[in-house]
Amino acid sequence: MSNCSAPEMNKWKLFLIIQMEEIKAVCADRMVLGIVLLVPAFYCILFGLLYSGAVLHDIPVVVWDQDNSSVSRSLVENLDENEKVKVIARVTDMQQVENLVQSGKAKGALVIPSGMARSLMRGEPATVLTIIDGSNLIVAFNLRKGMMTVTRTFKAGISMQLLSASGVLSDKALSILQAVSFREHVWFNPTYNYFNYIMFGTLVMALHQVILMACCLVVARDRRQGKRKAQLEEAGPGLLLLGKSIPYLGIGLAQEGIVFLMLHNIWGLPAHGSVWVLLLAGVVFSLVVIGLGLLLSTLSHDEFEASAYVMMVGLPAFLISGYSWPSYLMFFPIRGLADLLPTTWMLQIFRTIAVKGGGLTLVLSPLAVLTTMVLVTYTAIYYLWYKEARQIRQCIELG
Amino acid sequence: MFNAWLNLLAREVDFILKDRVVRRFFLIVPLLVGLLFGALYCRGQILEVPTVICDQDQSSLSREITAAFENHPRLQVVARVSSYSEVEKLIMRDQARVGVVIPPDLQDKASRGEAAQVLTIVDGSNLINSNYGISASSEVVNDLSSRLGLSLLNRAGYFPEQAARVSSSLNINEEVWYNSALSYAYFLIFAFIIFILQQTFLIGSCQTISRETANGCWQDLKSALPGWCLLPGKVLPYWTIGILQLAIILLTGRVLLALPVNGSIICLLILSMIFFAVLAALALLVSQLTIPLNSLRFTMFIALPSLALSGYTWPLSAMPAFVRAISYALPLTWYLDGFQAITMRGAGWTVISRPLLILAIMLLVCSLGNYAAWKITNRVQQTNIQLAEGVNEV
Repeated sequence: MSNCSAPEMNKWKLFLIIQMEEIKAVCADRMVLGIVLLVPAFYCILFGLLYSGAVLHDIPVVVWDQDNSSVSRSLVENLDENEKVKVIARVTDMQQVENLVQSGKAKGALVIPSGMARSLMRGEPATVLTIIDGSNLIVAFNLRKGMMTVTRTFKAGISMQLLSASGVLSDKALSILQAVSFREHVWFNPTYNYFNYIMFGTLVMALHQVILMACCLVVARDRRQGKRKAQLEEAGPGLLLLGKSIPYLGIGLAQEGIVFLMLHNIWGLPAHGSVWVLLLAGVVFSLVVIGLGLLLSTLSHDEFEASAYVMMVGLPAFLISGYSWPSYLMFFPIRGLADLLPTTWMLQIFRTIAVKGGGLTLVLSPLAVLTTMVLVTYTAIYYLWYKEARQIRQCIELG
Repeated sequence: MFNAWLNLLAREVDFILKDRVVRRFFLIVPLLVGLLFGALYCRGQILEVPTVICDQDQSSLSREITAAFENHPRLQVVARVSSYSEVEKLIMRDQARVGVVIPPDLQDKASRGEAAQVLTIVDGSNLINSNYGISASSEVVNDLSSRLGLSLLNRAGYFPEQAARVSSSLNINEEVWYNSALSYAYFLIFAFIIFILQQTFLIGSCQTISRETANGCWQDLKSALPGWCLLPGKVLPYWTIGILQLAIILLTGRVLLALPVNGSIICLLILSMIFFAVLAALALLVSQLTIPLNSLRFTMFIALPSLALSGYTWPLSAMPAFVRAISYALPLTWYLDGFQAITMRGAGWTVISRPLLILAIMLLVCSLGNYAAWKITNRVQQTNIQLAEGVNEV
């Protein structure tokens, strides 16, 4: 670029040269090339494997059966047969229960009191205790669900058995007693599949980070290599901005396509809704992130500083986006901050379209917000670059 | 030599305080992020899961069911609608997370002893929300299942006192240990802050040597101090500040958010000291081998996926063996394992001896790696000098 003579150069040719140089710069830095080409696919594979268990089974549980009757044994059997739970030990005192749960070897316990069967036969109350280790909430909620299902079914079964045996109620009364039942539907993710839940979020964040990582270097690198002045002088801020953005838009979209296909076709991640709407959202989202990367790069001192910022934003941006912890529960300044981040809106679009199968009308407002973000970011960069170009011109005129 | 070593420490502290990036990331960001996460999860648990009720029966029985859902502390009825499609619409638009659909002929059917079904719907697209939703709706359903039958019998003119006694004789009590409110604040805040602390620690310390090499000062420092003195001296200030930051965060979390720090502080301190020493040795190793920007990228390559891989959220037992092997190689896995055992479960030496031992082995391996890197870089440098001298002579 620096060796081309500006005045007679066709603007379109210049535009193409800017893009070619940007692609060359990405290819020249082996680490950036590696990040851009391999990281999304690498994370797809790594996280795909990581969460491939998807649904938690066989959560270890310890049993202290003080009753040791046929009733208590059938409760323990029911518990062991539940797919979420696995009885790993039968112990004989509370201390052993505590030790196993504290060391993390068991995630919960079932304590059956002595004389339970006899009490039930006499119609006297008996209390079974279930213990859940709440220190890992993902495990705790799954275990709780398994335990509740088992105890509810067991309790209903025991009651009916006792009532039938005692002859207190007629057959009709017994059918009335159990007439109302509850059916539970979990929509969009019926098996509580953690893989289906987390992978879309991870995908959007990985793309966000990769695009940001590559774009945050652009201006800082040109400045370090001393190309910046010539570029601004020859192409002007508008054309330069466009030329710098397009290669990264191409990279971003290609990455989105590859990652989406990998997740959907290889890992079997269910995706609904229109691919075109997702693509449209992908273009707008990529543009916002490219804009933010270029802005960061313009304002940073050097490439190290810009990269350090990028490394830090990933996790907080994901956490405050509302994808995991619901945004209506957030402290209001944080909700405000989250609304300023593109990931918040992109994740909302992704969930509505790909997870819930919604249509374009449901995502119009997040799309409008993302579009506004593109306009604001690009206007800000244009303004900064325009100012920089003017300063360069003034320096040349003065000097 | 001791004076030279003190000078080295002072020089590093001066750099930490004066360099814009290191000052910001290493000193300020952990505290800011700590505040952010504290504010983010300060509510701890989801108490008002938005719920929509579609009561098509409008009978006394259906009102009893509706009231049970309304009275549950974790559910908040945000809408009452008359059709299933409206329930669908509200859940699709994220305006409700739980739906209850009562069919039109519930009471009639049930009174005749015919099977009638109430449908509860939970939006599973956000597992955190749905965990609380399903938990609350299961509690309501458990309670109703035993009550409704008896209430129907009463209405039908039976007087089942004995039946009531028999059906309520088995009680199920539930205890949730270590996090009785099932609070996300207890579960996540410290872990996320430690993850960020690991990142800022590595951002700060990863360029400690590569920076000197880039500035051309590394040769002078090497001639002033031997390697066993110089290398630890370069990371000692970062290590000290890292431990202090952790202490501040633990104290703030304990006092402001009442987060659990149950076990022995001494255990926690020793575990943290070894963990930060492993991180320092790792940063030193990378810093010896690359330029500053690449040191940052290498360390972040290790740090970024480490929380997901650590088994802290998604359990190790549910990961394939290959991923589990990567997880075992990361220091954060063992640190969080020990940290959680101490702070939440109040565990002592016997439980944390394994993570402690593994972190100590990691420290030893990284130190040996540093020693090897020191030797190799020295040899390469000497060869370069000899070559340069040879060229000069020619």
